[in-house]
Amino acid sequence: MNLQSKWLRVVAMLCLLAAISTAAWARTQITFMTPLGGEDGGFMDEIIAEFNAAHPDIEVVHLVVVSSVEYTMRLSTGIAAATAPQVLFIRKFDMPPFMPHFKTFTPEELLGHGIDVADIFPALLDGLVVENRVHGIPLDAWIFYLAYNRDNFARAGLNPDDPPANLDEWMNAMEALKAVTPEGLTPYYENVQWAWLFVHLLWQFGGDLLTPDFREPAFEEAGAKALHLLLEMQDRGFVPKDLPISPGPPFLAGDTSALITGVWTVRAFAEVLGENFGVAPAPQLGTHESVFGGTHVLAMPEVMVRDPVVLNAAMTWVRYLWDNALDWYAAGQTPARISITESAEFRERLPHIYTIAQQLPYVRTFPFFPHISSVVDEIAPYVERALIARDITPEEAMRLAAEHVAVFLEDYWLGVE
Amino acid sequence: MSSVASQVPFKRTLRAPLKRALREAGAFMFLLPHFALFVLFVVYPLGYGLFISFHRWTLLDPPRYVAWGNFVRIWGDARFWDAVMNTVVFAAISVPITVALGLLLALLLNQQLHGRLWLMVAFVSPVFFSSIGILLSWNWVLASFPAGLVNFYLMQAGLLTLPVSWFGTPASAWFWIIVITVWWIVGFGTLLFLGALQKIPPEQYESAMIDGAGAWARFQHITLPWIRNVLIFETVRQVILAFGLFDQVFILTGGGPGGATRTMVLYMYQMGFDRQQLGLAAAISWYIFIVIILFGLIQLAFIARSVRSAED
Amino acid sequence: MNKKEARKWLFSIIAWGAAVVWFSPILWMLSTSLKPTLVATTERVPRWLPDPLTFANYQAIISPAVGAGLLQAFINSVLVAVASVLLLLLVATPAAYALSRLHFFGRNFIFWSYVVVLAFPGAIFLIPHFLIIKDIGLMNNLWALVLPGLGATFGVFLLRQYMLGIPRELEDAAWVDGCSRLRFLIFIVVPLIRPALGVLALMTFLGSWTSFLWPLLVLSTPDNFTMPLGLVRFTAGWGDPFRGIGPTMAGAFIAVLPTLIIFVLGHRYLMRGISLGAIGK
Repeated sequence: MNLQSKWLRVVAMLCLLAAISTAAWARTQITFMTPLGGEDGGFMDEIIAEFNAAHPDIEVVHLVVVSSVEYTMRLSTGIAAATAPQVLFIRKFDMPPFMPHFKTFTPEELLGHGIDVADIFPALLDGLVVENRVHGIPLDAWIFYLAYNRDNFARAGLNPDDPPANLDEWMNAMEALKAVTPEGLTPYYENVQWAWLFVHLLWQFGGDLLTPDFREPAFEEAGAKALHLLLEMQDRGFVPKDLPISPGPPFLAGDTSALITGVWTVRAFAEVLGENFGVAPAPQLGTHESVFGGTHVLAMPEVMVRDPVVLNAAMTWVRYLWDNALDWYAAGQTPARISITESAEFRERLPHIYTIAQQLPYVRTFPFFPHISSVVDEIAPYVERALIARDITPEEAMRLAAEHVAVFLEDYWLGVE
Repeated sequence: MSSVASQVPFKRTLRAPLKRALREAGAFMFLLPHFALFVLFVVYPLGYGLFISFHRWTLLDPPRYVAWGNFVRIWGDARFWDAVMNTVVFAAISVPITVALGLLLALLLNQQLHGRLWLMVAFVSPVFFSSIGILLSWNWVLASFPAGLVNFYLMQAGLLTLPVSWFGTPASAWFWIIVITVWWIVGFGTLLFLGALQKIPPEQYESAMIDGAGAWARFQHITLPWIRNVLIFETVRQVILAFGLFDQVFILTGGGPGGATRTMVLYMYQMGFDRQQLGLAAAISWYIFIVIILFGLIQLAFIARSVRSAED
Repeated sequence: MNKKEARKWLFSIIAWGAAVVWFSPILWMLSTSLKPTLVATTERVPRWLPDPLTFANYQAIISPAVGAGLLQAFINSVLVAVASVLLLLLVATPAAYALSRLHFFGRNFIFWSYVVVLAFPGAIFLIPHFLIIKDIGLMNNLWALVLPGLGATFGVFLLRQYMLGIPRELEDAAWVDGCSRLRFLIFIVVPLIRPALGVLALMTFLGSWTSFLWPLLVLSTPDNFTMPLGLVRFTAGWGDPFRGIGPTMAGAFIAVLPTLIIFVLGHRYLMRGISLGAIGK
């Protein structure tokens, strides 16, 4: 056949394929929007595929939007035009502006669907239950932990089975590890002005970003202490004085020895370092027992689930995730459920994450204030100046940051009232 | 005969303006389809944006009228002025470089060369790549550990002893942002200039050489006048692009360190879209518009005058 | 060899040397995408030619995304991009002609307003466009991805500048011959500005192809999704390179590849158009 009719056949075949794939299947379609990029998304894809295979009348479609700004823009336009996804996997700190628009349940109603909110760590549920109505169900917790190189510890004369748990042990370990760290790197090679690290230390020193009524900043004193600790670590050569962009590669290569970082790194580290990979709870470097965390919450825009058929399908999916969460935790998350955290199956299947999950009883999450990330953004430049440029003292930095946050809060409350 | 002669001038004077109006209406017909779309999708949104800029609005709540509140708020924000300064300085530095380099590359590619088509691919294609792909690549190239490409080769060459974090200081961050931006976008200008250069008849150069004109004189008196329209277009385009700098700072530095690389559009994103304050975002966009118009006019006047003086 | 040949070789060598260095970030992207992440992040000396050469990164991206879903997204992207290009050229060319060569009341004012609106950041149009599309009733419709872009003025501006280069003598000659403005536009102007049309077509195609946020806001059923919506997870990992620099670079290269192919194929046409466009002043 000549070229033209050959192309015509290809086009016709493509059209046929398109038609088939768009044919009405009488399946209820549930769009599931998550911020899971990279391999995390892959894990969720598998769970979704299994669900779809087991439920012929429901089709869950995975929509990935990684950036918070784009995610919230999609959510607000979707709610305004009633085109939002039916089920959300949303970072808890993105939720506050949308609280009036979520579908809510009483705890009893959820029990009827097989979901027991009493089984969730209270710190993760904090802010989601208003007047006995549950606005969302935390499924997991991303939480900080101590990742370390067992081999380096041994070479430095430290016991790899006994990683540092408090400030003194930590500083001693760092000092010893300097001997096995190549020139140009530090034992704990991380972006010292990483905002989440700052918040983690802030909590460990007893401060918080805002007062409980969200009216004023509450981080001046503890923030200064956190900064002083970081400065001391810089001066003693434990952490970099300038800004490394890629802490991962040197750690993977075995050049650097420790990282206080999020549980989502467990898989990658374990794969590369193998037996050498040490996992422990994050050391308590301050005065208050706490560890940084956050959670992905399952929520539904109320306007999208008014149809009982859709609501039923959505709840079926939510229930499936609730029951099969271990498959998701394998991606590098800790459970939100107390019972799973304590279960033998969890310990056997995901030993590293099990160790990390033992910190959950004292995990803390961001205050449930709209645009809390903007508050953190207001503080970040001053943290940078105190640690990198070093042109202001920690006290000065925190004072200036508090001033800016106060302006932000004032502006917010003015707009609300 | 006399009646006919007396009638003709009368008809002409009445018909001429009518005929002209019809001609103009006919001419407008060419513009109409696009103009209708322009009004619907550009003018109306901008007017709507102006309206919204006088309100506080998050899309999910009803808009609240705040008169000049948004504008006052931004005017008083030191970070806005920092962002303006950052953007202006960036534009002032990068636009001349980009335009000049685009012209230079076009002159180079206009020569007789082996494998010219592939050279064009190398220099010009990046402009058609999406920002994410490019910026992720460059981020990796500039990685701050010893095996990062730039760090490695500089250390090999003995210019560096320890790896550097290239986005750690404002000066270094801006240097690389400029380099990456120029690398990315110069190709389009090269293409435009090449198209214009190819239109110049070679006889002009030959006769100039016979007259004994040197290379610079040939450039001044032959090349420049021919490419003047494209040069102006390219400058305007580059100024607007430079003031719209967003992707690079968003992905590579997040506006850091300490807000030193925050540009006006990034400021709009952080203040407006991050916090879903649409009224604030609209107000900022009008400020951006005014700044660009001001500086665009200045740059345009400068270029036009220097081109004209070079031609004379 | 004679002086001209030597000159050609000299220039070529310089140009090629510069070109290789210039293009190296893309080559490094390709190289990294063919290495396992483990190797890419832990090697002490950067290797341009991957030693364990692997396609695993590409597999990681393509295999989960394979299926009727991605094919549909591909088709949607193609339809939208082609429609955008054709319609934009269709409305922008006469508009540019009108603004460069024709006379009507308010012409200059309109032209400068076309230029001036370029000074607005693109992001500010998102929400108003969203509300307009909602009111027109085109939500979740692929036409919503095509129409708003047609009002853009950059293309008209570009074509107009090129049309200014068309000599008046041509126009006068055509006019004397009794050629109507429309025929002049179609049969004389358009062939002469082919390079500009080609460049504009390419830019419009690629703008449409890579657009993510706008389709995200207007499309809600997966059948209508375009490619970037499906592939975003692989290009969004700029936070931590070690978490998968391999797949990230593979995703970046996949994003770059269609562009590269189109450019390589299309620019021959461009070059031909550019040299054919040589006319007397």
